[in-house]
Amino acid sequence: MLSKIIKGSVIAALAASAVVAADFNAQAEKDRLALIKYFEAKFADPEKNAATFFPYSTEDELKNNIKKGLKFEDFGIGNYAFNTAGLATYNELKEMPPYEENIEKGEALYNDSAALQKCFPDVTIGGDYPYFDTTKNEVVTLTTAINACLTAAGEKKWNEMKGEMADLEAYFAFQTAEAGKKVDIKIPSAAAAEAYERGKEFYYSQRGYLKLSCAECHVQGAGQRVRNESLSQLLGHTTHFPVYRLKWQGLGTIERRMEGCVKDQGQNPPKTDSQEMKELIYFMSYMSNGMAIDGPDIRK
Amino acid sequence: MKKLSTTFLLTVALGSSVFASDYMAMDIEKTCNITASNSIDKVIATAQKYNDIAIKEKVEFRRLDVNNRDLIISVQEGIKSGAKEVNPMGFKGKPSSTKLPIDYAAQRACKFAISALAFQQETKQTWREAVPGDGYKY
Repeated sequence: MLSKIIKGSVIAALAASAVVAADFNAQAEKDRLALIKYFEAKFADPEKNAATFFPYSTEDELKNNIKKGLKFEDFGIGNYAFNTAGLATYNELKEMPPYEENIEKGEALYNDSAALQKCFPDVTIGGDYPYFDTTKNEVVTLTTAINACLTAAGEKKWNEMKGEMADLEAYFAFQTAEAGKKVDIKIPSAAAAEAYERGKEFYYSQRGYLKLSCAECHVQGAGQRVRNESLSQLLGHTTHFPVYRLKWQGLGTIERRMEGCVKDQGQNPPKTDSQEMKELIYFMSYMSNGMAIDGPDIRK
Repeated sequence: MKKLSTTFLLTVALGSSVFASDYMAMDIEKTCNITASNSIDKVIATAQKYNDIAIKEKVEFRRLDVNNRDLIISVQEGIKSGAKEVNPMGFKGKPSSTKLPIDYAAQRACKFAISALAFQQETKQTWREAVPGDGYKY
């Protein structure tokens, strides 16, 4: 009888904690599913739904340059998911990807550093960052984790936007993609849920002298053309970093890209290791949960 | 005592809410335009005052690599030296490609400083309207 009661209590406690744990990401999950629904609706038939989703696109563009019938898993490759003309160029570039050397450099950096090997024994971690550190109550991005590892070992911090940092992250991303892993961001506590919400608010808030939010271009504006560029969609934005950008003529981290985006909105951007930046990336990464990691990659 | 502290708290709350709604209600044109009664010194002092708050709130504007704080500095230095045109530093500490008549630079710095705060206030009320599954309907 006693063992039955104990068993029952343990099961009840486990069930209760599972419910509580699941609750922390309830809003985020609702947001993620709504976002998927939105993008699937938007790209179901762009030509037919032009008035709702593509009011500024030409008929020719909608007919010949925007794919239809896209599903969740298609969105992992940025605007090349729908951008027919862009995809052709992208595929050509992928034949001899300019970041291969960076992956090798990243591997060498890892193999030469006992500290990095100790901090990151598993190199297939590209989909697990950012995570929320429940002890320190803060978001930890891969970039900040690498620098924390280096400084703890008495070494100098790396530039958070390019160079060795991007090379090592390219190696991690490549290994993660090879292992077939997916984005797997967790919201383990109430504080983590608050961090997620702040990241979300940052993403959807208009800022800068242009009074633009990230969402205006990458949610409502995704698929629209700005000059000759098609705006990419939030869904899948974090799956492929670091990226080799033709504009940079080199590899850069997601922090570098986000800094550039906020600058383009007309605001002095948050620092790469700031709370705002980390929480923004936390929100964006959660939105890509369940998508395959396919970094490093190429972008214009 | 309880009554006193309640009154104090109410005053603070009311005071801060009036202050908080100030930016959106401000007549930016009137505040920032240089006129006979609103000298360039006054305008750039206003710019400095609000931009300091914008920096604290992490919403300072940056245009063509020039942070608003550097535009303000260039105007302040221009007033001292009697320059007619300013060439502010870029955020990396090197001279930028921006060259502006000093009056125009002062007005822009002032408008940027207040607008940064007004936009921040406005977006706090509106950002959810863009979220699919929340305020955004399609």
